[in-house]
Amino acid sequence: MTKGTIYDLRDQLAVGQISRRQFLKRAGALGISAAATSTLLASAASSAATRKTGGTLRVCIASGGQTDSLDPTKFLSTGDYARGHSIYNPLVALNPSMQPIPALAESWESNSTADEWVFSLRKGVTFSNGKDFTSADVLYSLQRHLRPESESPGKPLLEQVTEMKADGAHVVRMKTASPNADLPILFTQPQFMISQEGEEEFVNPSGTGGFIMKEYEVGIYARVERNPNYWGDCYLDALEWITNVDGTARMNAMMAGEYDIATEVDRNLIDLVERAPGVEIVASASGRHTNLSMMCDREPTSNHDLRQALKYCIPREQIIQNAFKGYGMVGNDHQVSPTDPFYCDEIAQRTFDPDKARHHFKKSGVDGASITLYTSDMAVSGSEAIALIYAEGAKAAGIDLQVQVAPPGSYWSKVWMQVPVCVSGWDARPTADLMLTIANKSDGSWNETAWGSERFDQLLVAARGETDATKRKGMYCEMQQMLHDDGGVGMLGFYDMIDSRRDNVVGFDPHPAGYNRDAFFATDISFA
Amino acid sequence: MVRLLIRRILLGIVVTWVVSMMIFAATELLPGDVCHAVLGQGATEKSLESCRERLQLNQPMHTRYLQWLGRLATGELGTSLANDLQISDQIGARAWNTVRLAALTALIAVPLAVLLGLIAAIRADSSVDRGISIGTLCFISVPEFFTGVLLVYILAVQLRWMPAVANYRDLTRGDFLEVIEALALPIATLTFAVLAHMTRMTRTAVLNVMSSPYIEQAVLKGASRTRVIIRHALPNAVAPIVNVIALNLAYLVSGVVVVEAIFRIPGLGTLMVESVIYRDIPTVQAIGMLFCVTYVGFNLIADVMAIIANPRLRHPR
Repeated sequence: MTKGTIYDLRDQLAVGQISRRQFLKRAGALGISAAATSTLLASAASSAATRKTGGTLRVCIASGGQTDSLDPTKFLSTGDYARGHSIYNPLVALNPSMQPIPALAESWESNSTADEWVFSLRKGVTFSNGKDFTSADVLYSLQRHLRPESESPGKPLLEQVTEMKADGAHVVRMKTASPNADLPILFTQPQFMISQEGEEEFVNPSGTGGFIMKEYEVGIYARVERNPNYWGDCYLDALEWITNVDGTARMNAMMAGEYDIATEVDRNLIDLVERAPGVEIVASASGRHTNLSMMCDREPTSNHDLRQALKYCIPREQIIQNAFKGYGMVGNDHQVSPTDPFYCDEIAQRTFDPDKARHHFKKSGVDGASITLYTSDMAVSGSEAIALIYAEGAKAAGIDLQVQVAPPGSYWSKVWMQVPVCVSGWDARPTADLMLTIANKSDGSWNETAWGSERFDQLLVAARGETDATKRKGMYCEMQQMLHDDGGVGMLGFYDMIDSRRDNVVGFDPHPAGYNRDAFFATDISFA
Repeated sequence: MVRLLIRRILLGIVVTWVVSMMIFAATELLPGDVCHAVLGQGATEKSLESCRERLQLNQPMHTRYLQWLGRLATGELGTSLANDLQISDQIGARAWNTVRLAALTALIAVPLAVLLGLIAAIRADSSVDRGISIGTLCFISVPEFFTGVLLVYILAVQLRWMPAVANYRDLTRGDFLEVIEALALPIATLTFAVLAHMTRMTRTAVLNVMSSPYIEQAVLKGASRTRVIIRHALPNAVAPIVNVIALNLAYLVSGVVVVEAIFRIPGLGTLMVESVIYRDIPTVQAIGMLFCVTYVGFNLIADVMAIIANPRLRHPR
């Protein structure tokens, strides 16, 4: 059988290594939604399409506002990421198979223990003000995150790098506090884009990206024009970024032809957009998910059988179909997505099984009426509906739990990690290591289920430093199995990122990087 | 008359002060503090504490109110919590879009409303009058977000005659025609919203005056109904009409939040909505005060106009 993530297979299909039938079979085995599969098929076909050079493309960005910035250490929204990627470059980019590929760093290698790294930088790259790009710019950009006053989201990630120094103009050497085979992927994060040494104001910053910022109005509008000296391919003459946070207004304007790309289609508008002439949905299967968080350190969810019962009564398919309108994938009670290279497909898929749920529930001896499931659309949009679907599933297994909608403003502070059972949600992380660490490491501050296992913690550290891919995958498999069997996560579903494009736009393709996906396209896109 | 004016102005100041307390109290009641809103799921006790320290959220409410009022009185609005920019600069940049939209709408809506009101009064109880009544009532009964979205759906999505959102480049750098094209649908939406109120008030005020003895005298002299209304009734009905026009003008400035959101016009309304989302309280308070001053100001003007238009108030005995 064919192997790899669905995005690997899309590439293989595009170059004819596998057949359409093999592709569809694998997509089915991974549980990829029909919608996302058809977007992938379309993108495999369009990668062969002819591209036109030139034109001005109008992109409507769904998030952002007064906190927008051109300073990478202050990037918070997809708007920041997208604009940033058009004027700057990261050291490393992430391809749709979630593998690191060269950007400003041409190559990299580590020692056998993955705690000393050498990054070789691309030569002959210039900033838009004409200055050469060198290792000094890299050190400057990265060290800005580590300043005491920095509030950068990248700061905690970068703190593992204990030493960072230039070795000539085009080599950067780094040491990490502990082995990390994923270090290059860290530098794909949008906050780690490279700005010019000495840049502090970021009013009219120079970058190495495919475009140069020409007009910028915080939270409203930006216009970038092609950088004539860009080191890579670039098709468009100019891009306009328009921020429009109102979901209905955004789609109205998209359907009326005001934008060529509009990000984030509200789920309740999907039907309308699917039918609109000239507009295509771009669905990206990703690691974004919503889950039941069952806390293992308190009654009643400290009971293993109760957790099993609550996992068996998740109507997984129904949640994908009803709450996500078919744009999602069922999960297997751990946080690693089927789009991740380390997803373990050897673990049997847990399905909706009221009989097994009833069996475990009886064994637990817990009174169903005492369980309250807290939820809020604050966790993930649609969570309130999902909780109701879930409650129906539980009822079928004889568990009569209460659903309580909590106020959104204080959901993360007063409900999440406070009550025994609530609906939670996570954005996609670039690596399985980051996802598993942040939500499950026994002493982590966001170990939401308070589940802890010494063996799991050891495996996390060992896998992070393992450079042998097969051994590494085995370790991740074991961790996923542990969570699946015993953990406090009941996976309600992975949901697709849903964006839209006009049918003459090429190169705006699905990417599993979740919220970061909008960052990848500026130089890839063209008109057909 | 001067004493009357001074009393009005003092009253306006008192009202503004009371509203300032209400605005401050209301923003205090917003669920969740700015630190929680900014840090979200990733908030830790330590980062929350340092954030609150930085924003001085640890001081008691009345201390912060007095400090705020003091700064406000000296015209210092402070800096935004969202992006550290001067609030006065941000408001200045956005206000033009809101004021321009309001002014253009007023230029169309006010004459139209008075005209329709007069026609309805001249032809009272005819089918024309009823048509105007029913039409304006229908428009006032549907909320702007519905009228706006309906107009967009018909004129922009289906017929493609108009842009669905206001194009930013046209709005900021376009010539007059481009600005009009960008603003046509917002102006239409707002016109529908404010028309009914003014039309009906004009009709009612004029018809009220029509029952007074001096009108009877004019009719007996043989003046036509149109002449009676325009020359004799309208001047005495000006006060209530100006009042309702002033209220609607104030609404055009402060009530455009919804229309600005639908058409994505970067004005004060969208700034306020964004600031609420980011819990950027100083900006919310500043815009709230601005709206309050606009209301009080327009009402003051309306009062003065009513005094000037009314001989009994102009020459009190």
